[in-house]
Amino acid sequence: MNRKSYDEMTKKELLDVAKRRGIKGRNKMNKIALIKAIKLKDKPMQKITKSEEKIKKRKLDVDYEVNHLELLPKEPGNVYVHWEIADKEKKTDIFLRLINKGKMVLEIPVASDKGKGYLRVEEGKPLIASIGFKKRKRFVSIVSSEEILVPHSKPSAKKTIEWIYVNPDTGKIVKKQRKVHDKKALKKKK
Amino acid sequence: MKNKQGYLTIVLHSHLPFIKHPEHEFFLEENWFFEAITEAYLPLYISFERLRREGVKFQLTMSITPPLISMLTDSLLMERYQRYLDSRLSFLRDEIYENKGNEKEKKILQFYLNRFEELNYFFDIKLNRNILSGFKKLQEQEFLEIITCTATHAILPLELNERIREVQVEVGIDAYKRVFGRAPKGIWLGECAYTNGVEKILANNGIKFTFLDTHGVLYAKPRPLYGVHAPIYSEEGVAFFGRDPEASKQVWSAEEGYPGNFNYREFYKDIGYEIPIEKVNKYLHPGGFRFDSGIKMHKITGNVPLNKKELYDREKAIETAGTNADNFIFNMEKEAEHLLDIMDRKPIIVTPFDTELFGHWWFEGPDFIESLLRKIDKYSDKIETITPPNYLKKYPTNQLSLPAPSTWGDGGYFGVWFNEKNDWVYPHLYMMGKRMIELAEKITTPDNTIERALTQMGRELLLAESSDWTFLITTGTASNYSIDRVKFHINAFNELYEEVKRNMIDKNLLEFLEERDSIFPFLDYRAFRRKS
Repeated sequence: MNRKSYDEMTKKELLDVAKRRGIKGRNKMNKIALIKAIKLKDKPMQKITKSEEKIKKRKLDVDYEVNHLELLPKEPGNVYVHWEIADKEKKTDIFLRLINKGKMVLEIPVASDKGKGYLRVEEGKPLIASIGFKKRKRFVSIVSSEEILVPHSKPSAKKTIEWIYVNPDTGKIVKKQRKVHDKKALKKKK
Repeated sequence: MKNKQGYLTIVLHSHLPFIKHPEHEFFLEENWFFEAITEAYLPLYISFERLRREGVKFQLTMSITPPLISMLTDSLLMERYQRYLDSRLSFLRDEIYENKGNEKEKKILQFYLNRFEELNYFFDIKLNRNILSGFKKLQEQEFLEIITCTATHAILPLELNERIREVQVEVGIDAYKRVFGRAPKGIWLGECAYTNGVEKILANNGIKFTFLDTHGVLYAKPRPLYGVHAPIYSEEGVAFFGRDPEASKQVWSAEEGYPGNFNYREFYKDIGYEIPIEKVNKYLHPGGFRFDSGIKMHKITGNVPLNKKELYDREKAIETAGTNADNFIFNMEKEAEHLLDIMDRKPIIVTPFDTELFGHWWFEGPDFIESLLRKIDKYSDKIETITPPNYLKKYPTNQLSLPAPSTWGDGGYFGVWFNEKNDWVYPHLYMMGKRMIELAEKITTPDNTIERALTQMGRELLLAESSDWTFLITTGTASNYSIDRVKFHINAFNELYEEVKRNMIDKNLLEFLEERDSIFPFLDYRAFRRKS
């Protein structure tokens, strides 16, 4: 937010600032004395400004120089992947694989140092991403992601019904084949 | 007791990002918080108090997020809020003294003066500048069930580091306990964001229930027999309540819904943009910066330009809020009746809202809520309000089903917080999580300065994870501020990380960060260690 410099302020404004800074005897001061007193009080503020500038001037880290690969869910059928390969001996032919329960569902060549992108995938499936190279036609993984579940957009086809009773006081759980609503009824059943 | 046909669970989700700028005497974005207190939190509290004194029985669920808890207990921000109230009070007193304008305008100014005096009385005298103490008392008297939230309103499915996910929940619970004196029974997942695995973290931390958007429950596996009109349980016994799509619509939509009624106050016409600049200087901002003062003299009127808006009529607006409440109750009763026909138990209708809708965006929202709660208790023989724990006492047996990944955002998934405009944030968050855990586990006996730096890294990480920044970048409102904020937290974190590793801490910087990003004063960096 832009602020007026003290020299641009009216005496009234300066008095207001001085009041907030807790400057005593301000009502007897002229403009120059007020500015001087405020600036003196501002010294710690300058330290703050310096610290703020230090963080604001810092550039975002471009490379973290650690192998990483993250797969994130965006929406049904859409995931996002970002990676960085920091290994010294960089391989040239690098592939990204998506794996569903041990089965490869996608393989694409990717940049060997870093990258990001959105991928179309089947919805409702658990997926792991892996980046690696090929040695004697076998895939050697350099880095793998955590497993995610791709969101789905339809109700479940599974319609089996199982009930559980959770004791509201103790939190104890009892699985039931049939629905029993309250404690009394549960006791009766027993 | 009358035999009601269904239950209504109103959930007010209260959240604002942590915004505090001690380095500036006046900071525009801090006003979001002051406006929310003035227009939503305090008016709602006053309404609840009035209902309690009248002997009205009501049950309402309210989440108060940890950033909001931190801000409401911050002495600098509370002092600045007092200044905010004082400046409006002096403006109104001076305007009324000057006796300008016609009778109608004078009446509106008098309404605002009374209102600000009442707010000031509750804030400064009755609650002794501790607004949370008021809500806490209402919880102890069993009118409210207050729940917590992920520590900084983070979207857990977008945080794949299991430990950081856990910390978001643990710190959220810790912040709650320190203010409300007991553990929370429920949690609001930031943006209602769920994916498989979250239920285990909630169960491990003693959380009994949470809320999801409609499809989070409807697409659960196996398919829930009662849809969203009864909760489902995970294997661990955590209850998931789904949002009723019909009930919220009437309230949410600004055009077709209640808030768009022509009698209601016009949001976009504020005297802050209209009074002479000398008055802006005197009362609103010493630098002559124009922004919303919270004093708005006009009603929506119709589809007319701002200069054609007619003056606000408070009585008429209150009357309209009552009529809207009648209509809402009528619809809820109809729905409950219909559902009871097809269900073998009483349905629960869950309607979650952002608290700030009531009062800030929809000025008469708190009056609507007050009228609604009063009328349900006094006149409805078909529905009653209930909180999730009380519902679960009545119905402790529910279907076992695993919710579906979802959020309550536009589109229902993660696209709002995650698209080409803001996806650059996530690689940083990912690395920050790794770095935080690395140092938390490696450094066992730090000296005091290093310990403070490590703990501050934890705060910067959590603040960077607020869903607010990526949300605001997507919507384009306050987008520059949000980009600056998220970059600031990433840079502050990485700067401290390097300083800790070199064992050379810039103490001025550390002090500044502790003062500014002072969320969770109780935080300990050891909280980030993985549990073995």
